[in-house]
Amino acid sequence: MVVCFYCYHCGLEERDLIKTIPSGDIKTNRVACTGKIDSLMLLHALEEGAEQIFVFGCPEEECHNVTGSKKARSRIEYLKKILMELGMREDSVKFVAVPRVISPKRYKIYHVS
Amino acid sequence: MIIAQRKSIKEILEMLEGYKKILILGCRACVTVCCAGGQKEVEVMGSIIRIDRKKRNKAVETIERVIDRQCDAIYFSMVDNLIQESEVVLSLACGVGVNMLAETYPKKLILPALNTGFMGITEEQGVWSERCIGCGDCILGKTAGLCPLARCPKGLLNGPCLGSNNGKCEVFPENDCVWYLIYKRLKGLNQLDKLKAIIPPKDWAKGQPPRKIIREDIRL
Repeated sequence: MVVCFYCYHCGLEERDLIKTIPSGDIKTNRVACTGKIDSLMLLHALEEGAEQIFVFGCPEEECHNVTGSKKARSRIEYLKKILMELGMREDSVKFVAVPRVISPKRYKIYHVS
Repeated sequence: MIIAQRKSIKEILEMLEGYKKILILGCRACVTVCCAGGQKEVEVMGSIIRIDRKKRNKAVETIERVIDRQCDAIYFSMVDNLIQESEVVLSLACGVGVNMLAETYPKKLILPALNTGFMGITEEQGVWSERCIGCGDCILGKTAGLCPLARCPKGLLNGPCLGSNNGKCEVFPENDCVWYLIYKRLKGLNQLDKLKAIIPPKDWAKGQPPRKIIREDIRL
């Protein structure tokens, strides 16, 4: 299962995610800002059977709430350390920056960490 | 407050190996403020343990609770039945809380999930630093309220040392020299003459563990 968290303000809609992720089993969660995401939400997703988690958010310099994307990244880094200690793939959680554009046709994912 | 941080997950999981019913017990006092053992950290710990066991196809039941204080046995009554039911208690309190649990429940295995660090302040969200070593013989009245024992790596009672450079510490250059800060504060308070008084060597016996304070006037 692929679990996606995506920011309300970035240029993504649920239908875009379903097209983007090449997996039939996908669960999407829209959040007010990726700064809302914490390690507990991500751990719960892993517990529920997620093999891959994507967090789609605004680029750091374009975050609607100024520091939300930065917070999300640092929390994902913290979670990666936990995953390493658990002997799991640390790249099973990824932050994907999506430019803040209105039209879904115009967005392109330009950074995958 | 007491500042603590989580032990490595490897160490915690090794301690818990073989136990199937685990009570994860947090504390709403200091360790909640320093984000090491509050409600959220208890839930994170529970999730980590369950993911680990699921990965290895081993059964586990986790119970997650947080009580007001673990350094005071009166609060254990809220979770007494859960402590009795569980095989092991993983405490996310400081070392004091773990001790209190162990003394209160002599037949129950109590394990620490945190390493207790020091008594300190919150500098900013996510940054804590030491301010008191609990020496038992406070000299803050002589040092403008700033403790050289807690903040000077050399523990100088009559500083600064010759290494103090532009107000920065010689040992940890990223830190302010506490004796420079003491000087600045005393100058601002117009009490620089306090620096002329030599602080005598401390009586470290007052800080010798195990320490105990007894107040007969408030005992029941």
